[in-house]
Amino acid sequence: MTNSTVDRLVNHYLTRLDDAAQAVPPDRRIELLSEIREHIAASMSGGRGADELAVRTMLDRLGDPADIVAAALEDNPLAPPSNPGPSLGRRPGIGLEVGAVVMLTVGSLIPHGWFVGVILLWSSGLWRRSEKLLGTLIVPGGPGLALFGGAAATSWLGAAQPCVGPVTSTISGQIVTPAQACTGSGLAPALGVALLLFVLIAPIVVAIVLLNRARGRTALVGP
Amino acid sequence: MLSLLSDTSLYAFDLVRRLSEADGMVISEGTIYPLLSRLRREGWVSTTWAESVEGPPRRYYALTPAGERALAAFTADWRRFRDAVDALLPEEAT
Repeated sequence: MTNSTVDRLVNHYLTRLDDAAQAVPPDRRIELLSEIREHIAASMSGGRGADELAVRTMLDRLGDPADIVAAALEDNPLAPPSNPGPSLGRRPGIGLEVGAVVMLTVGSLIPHGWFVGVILLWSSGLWRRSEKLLGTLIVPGGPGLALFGGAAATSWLGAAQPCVGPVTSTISGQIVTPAQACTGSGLAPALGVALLLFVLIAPIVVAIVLLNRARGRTALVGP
Repeated sequence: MLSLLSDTSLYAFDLVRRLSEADGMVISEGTIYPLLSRLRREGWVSTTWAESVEGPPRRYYALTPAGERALAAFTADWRRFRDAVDALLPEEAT
């Protein structure tokens, strides 16, 4: 009577363990099951009592079959992982590359920002040497430096070069001077605007091109 | 576990029981078997079969020389770690 209850308890436990252990490689599964069987047999034969209460306690101490199987899978890296398929989050990020182009453009407005961008640019493995050179040389110092430098140069040039022409006298030296009146500095505003547009737009275009290439390459490298 | 085996070889069931009786070390005795299996594959532990007076033959576990070296290295590391933590923590107020 008691014996059959005990047998049923043990068999039920072993069946649960066997079911849970399907993911364990066959040789390890056989080994694990035989070890647990030995453990149970040893417990019941060792004068520790084989009555129902003793067996229940022993099985409780052995623990949940799922936990045992989890431990068996944990230290077996070659086993098929319990989570199906390769993880999708493995794709290498382009955080470094994004950081590089941000620092080369917007970041150049803060002190040393552009230099940080250059360092990031050259430490990336996703760009070719020619692309790194392009990113560095398109506007050395970045739009930030070019803007500050340009503004300083414009005001300095405007103040330094007096206009010569028919209508000079009172308004000489000002940028609003009509172009036909000051042939010398008259080209400066137009040139300045073109330069301004270039230093603003070119780095952004280059940044977009660089980012697109980096993204294209991670797609190839990724799983 | 290696430490329990350092003096003597132990029969699996006794080994597992002694580990689980060391306070707070084991929640589920069954999970020790996969661990033993790993130590065996690492070559730190060897198993031998011995006939027992009562019941089926028993599996005994013993440390291999590699296991002894691993235990010695761990013991040294652990003491260093423990001392480092002790040095950082405030003295107990007892």
